[in-house]
Amino acid sequence: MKLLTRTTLIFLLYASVVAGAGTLVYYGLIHKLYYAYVDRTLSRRKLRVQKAMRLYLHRPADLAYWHQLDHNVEFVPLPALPPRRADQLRVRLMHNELTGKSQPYRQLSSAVLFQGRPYELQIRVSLFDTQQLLLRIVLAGGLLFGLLVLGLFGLQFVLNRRLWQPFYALLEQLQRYKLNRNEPVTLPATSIREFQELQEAVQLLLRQNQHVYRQQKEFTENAAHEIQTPLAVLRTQLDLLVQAPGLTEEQAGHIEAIMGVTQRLTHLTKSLLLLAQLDNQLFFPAETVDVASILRTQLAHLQPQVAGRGITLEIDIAASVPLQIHRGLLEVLISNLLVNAIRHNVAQGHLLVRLTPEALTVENTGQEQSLQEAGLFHRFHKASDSSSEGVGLGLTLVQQICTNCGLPLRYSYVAPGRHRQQVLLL
Amino acid sequence: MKLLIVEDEPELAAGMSSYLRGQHYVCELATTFDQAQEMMLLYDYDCILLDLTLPGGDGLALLRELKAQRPEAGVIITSARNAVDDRIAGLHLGADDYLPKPFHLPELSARVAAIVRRRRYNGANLVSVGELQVDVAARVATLQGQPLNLTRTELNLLLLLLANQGRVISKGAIAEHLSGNDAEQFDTYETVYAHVKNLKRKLTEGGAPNYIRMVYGLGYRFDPDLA
Repeated sequence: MKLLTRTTLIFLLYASVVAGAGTLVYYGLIHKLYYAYVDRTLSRRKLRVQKAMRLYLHRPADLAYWHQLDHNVEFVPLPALPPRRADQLRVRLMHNELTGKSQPYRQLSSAVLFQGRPYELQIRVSLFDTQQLLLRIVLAGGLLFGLLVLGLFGLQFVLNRRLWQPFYALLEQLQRYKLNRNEPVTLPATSIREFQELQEAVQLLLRQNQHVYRQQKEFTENAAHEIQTPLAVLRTQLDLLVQAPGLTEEQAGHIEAIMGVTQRLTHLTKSLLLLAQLDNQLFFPAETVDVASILRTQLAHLQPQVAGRGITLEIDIAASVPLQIHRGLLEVLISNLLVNAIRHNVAQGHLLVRLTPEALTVENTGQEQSLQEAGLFHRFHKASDSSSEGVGLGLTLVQQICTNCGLPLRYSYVAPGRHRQQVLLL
Repeated sequence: MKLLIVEDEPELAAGMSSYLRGQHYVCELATTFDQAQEMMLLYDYDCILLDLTLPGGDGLALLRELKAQRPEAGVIITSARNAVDDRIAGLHLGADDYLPKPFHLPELSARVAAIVRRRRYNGANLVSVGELQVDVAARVATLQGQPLNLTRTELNLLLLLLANQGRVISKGAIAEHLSGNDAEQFDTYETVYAHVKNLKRKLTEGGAPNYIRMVYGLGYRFDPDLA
């Protein structure tokens, strides 16, 4: 959930509780105030009625007559004088002849004596209009509350969005950030202290990471580079050693073993150097290269390996596929893809090489398990099926070259035991 | 034929000159920038093997200077820098070839031979042993005047062997020569065995003596004296 959504939601929840409860309290208050007012009016009227009873009314018929004139004043004869008590105020429903409906009234009941006979004096006020009024007042109050909440809500939303702007800008930059691109992170100016501190912390972290990364890269590069010269000496001395006349077969065996590991070491340092270079350098000078001809050359060269393992080779190569790319990189890419497909193939397996202007596809039989999760492109990753062959940098190089040259690389496990590497050329 | 080896690593320089002397080249050695500068401008060499990282300066500067004064000089850059840029800069400045370290001596010898041929016998770029003749420019090999039907790889292999006559060429060197320096390698040498076998068969079928000998499983040797 987004930060803004969450704070807005919490705010909205609180505001609606407050608005709802507020409206209720407001209603209760108005209600109480109004009843106090009505009750006071009724009490005053009672005093006036009592005064009139003393001065102007003479017969019981007068009481009935008054009721005829004013329905809101009624004298109900009582059988006996009730014990003295305070006036009663209550709400009662009465049938209204005009509207034909029951309507609520506020009624004051008081026991009075008229010419020695007890009566209950009932004075009423219709609450019908009042209730309507009350409803409207509360509605208006509720509306006001709602507007307030809505306004605050909008304000908070807009304000938050603007306030958090530097944060989101930073986040976006960090999401696009790549350690090997060495691009500076430019951050929008902000006057908010927390964001300033965050930006400073992030800048510091990135600088440190860059530094460590560069150091590591330089180390790899320098180490690989420094190994080249001793390796060159080793190789030349070995090349001279094999010229020695009178070598015994046993000696030759020892030399062969040393030559083998020297070869591997050479290949390893070359791969490391190339990787370091691919990390360092984003663009390699491109020329128009015919992918088809390079592919055919490499396949011809690998023919003995294919035949030696009894692999059925299926080739479907377009006549000519020109591509703007660095020739050396393309050669490494193709060679590594093919060697990988042969090396991890099974005996009597199948190898499909297809080149169209859109894509280069290499599909081979191999272990019966998708390699997606196996860290296929990790440095020094070795497949479980392989012997000691290879140094585990082949596919890493393939991936790195594809990234550098902007060629999408897709691995898919097309069928049980069938792996496909595809390089899109468009 | 005179070569100048510009190389500051003594063992490497010694190894290179030892091998190339055996191929009947006269080798002179320069170990610093200044020494190399002096020698390459004073004397005329058939081919200069130039290292790029030298005490006292950058080999590329040396190359620039050399090409300004002797544009016809043959130069092979032998560098451990192995950088794509260096290769391109070197070739752009007029170097004839670029051989990244570590290289095999037979490979170096083959590259030197190619440059010497190009400079000495421009036009008639022929290599011959007995009845065997290779027209390098036309990429055609003939035996007793009859063309041998060699594939591109077999011809490359033959040229490598001819450039290192009487020398043992290790399987690794052959594999690298055939597949290209940067190609992923197999630890087994099926490719080498297959191509050598085919070449041998084509040579003997054409009536040539058994020039190519396997030396204990280490590699192969082309023996012209057998003829």
